[in-house]
Amino acid sequence: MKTKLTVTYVILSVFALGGLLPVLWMFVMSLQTPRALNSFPTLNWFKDFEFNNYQIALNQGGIYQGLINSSIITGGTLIISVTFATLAAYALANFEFKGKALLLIGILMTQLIPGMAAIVPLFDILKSLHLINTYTGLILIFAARTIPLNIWIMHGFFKELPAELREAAIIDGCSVYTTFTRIILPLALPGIGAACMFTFMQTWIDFIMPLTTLFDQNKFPFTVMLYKYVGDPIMGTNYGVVFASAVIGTLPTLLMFVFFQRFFVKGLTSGAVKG
Amino acid sequence: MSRIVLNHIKKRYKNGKSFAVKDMNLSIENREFIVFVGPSGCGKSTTLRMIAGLEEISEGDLYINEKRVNEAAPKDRDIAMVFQNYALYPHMTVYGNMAFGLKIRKFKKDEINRRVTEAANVLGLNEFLNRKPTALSGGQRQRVALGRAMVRNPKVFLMDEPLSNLDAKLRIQMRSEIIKLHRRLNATTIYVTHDQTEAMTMADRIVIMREGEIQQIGTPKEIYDNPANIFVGSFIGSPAMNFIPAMLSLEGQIHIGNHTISLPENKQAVLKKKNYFGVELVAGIRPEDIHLEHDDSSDSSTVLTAKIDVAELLGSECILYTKINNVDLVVKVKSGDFKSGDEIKLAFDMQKMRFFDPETGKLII
Repeated sequence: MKTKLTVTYVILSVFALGGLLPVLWMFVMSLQTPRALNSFPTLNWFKDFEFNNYQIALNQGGIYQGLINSSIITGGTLIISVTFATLAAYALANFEFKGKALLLIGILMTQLIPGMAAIVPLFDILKSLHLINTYTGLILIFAARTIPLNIWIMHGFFKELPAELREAAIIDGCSVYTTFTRIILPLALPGIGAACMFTFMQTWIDFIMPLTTLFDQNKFPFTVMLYKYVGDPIMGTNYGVVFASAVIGTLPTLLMFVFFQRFFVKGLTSGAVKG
Repeated sequence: MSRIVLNHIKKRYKNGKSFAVKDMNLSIENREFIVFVGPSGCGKSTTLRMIAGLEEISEGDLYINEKRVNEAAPKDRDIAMVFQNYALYPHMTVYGNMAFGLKIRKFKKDEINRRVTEAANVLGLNEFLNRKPTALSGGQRQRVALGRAMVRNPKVFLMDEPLSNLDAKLRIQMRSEIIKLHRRLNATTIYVTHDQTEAMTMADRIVIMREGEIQQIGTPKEIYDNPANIFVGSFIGSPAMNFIPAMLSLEGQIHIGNHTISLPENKQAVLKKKNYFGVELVAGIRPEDIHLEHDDSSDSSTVLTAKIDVAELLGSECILYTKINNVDLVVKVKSGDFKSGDEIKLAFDMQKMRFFDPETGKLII
């Protein structure tokens, strides 16, 4: 038993380390001087570190705008995607109607189309809607992209909630709407948390879509803004600053995870029915 | 007044080939405690859910207080329901759970408070009002579920196997609590269970169901003493009624295995009148209606010799699983020193013996 546990932990640690390594790499690189970064053989990275790169990154100003733009795009997507997905998933999980199974499969099928393949048609659609170079256009694309999987995430959560809870609410006098808002929604928070997390990750880190649909530099999200630091024709690339900016850009994701993690804790429904 | 009438109620599920409930006719009187009992899949819960409005009625009419309610929403039927798995709202406290239905119905805060406190007093939940359901034991959760139904003061209580998730001891305790509650509230109660003991101990009237059909409606005593058919006889009572293939001779004696037993004249008369002389029958007798015969000189026409297979001591009583020729016979006697392999003499209380038609399974006498 103990050996089994140790083996499990060793394997898990290896995976965790594998996941952490790029983050660690990013952080260590963000603390290096340009000289240390370009030297070969490498200097002692852990000896001569400095926070100068962060200062440069923050003083350039563009990063703030990038973070604000990313927040607008991600926030808008989150609201639209999670709201629509939650309502759709509730209907799919609880109501009987013709073609339901087909619809669910259809929704899943949309995920088979690679994001890259959709860039040109999406660009065309935005153009005909006069939504090129707007946050709205980008938010709609991200929402459309994340709604299907969010529906599936929420569908799973709604299905897991015991049907008796809904029935008890109906007997207590709730309408479809009040059953949803007063009983189901509070219990579906872990699902909503998961959907928010997924949507945030998909949107915050996306690079290609804003790069192709936004032209105005002031509208660039953080990821595209970061791109500006790469391959400056005159100065060359200051990798230290790129890494420092990347660390700053990762912080919201980290905060997001810390905030939503408590919603992932299962067992909110335990006690509702005999478990 | 809360009289419930089921008039030719049927239920067929979508994609279902046959009816889950077939032609149910029943009239439940005001303040009656009625129990639907039967094996799983007999349609008892479906019927209850149709009365609650949680399940659509495929055919027939449902009346509550002379008003047809087939299309009425559950909230407009003035019913409260207690679910098998409690169905408490996990994100609300005990108080919140009990008050929710009243809040939704826009009751005044003082009134809600008064009703919840009163119900909590009755159910002994006072000290738990601020707890979440997770922090309660099974019995306490079931009490909250009862309280949630009680505060609404409904005309009809519907209970769907409310005790089946509790352990045996708690179940017996809650059984009497529910009966006391029923007497106190005086509301019509429909109670669904698969446990015949619950049905026998709690019901004013029992409705026994099987495969979507009512087998018998009656008081516990009526059903126990005069089961309408073999199924009812085997379902109600523990241990179940003994069913013995028997032949009724033209002389009015029945042959069980190699034994011949004379039949009381009143029974003979009825069987003769119904043309059952000289044909095969199924004799049914309750285990407690078979007695030990210690006196060797007693009338041999009603005494049989049996061999004990297994003896189960229950304390003051003993259940003997015996064999007469090749016929299994369960006997309930006062406890004594019984060992498997022992031979005992048994006497049937012939007045208590029932006879069933072997083809239809229906009671003859």
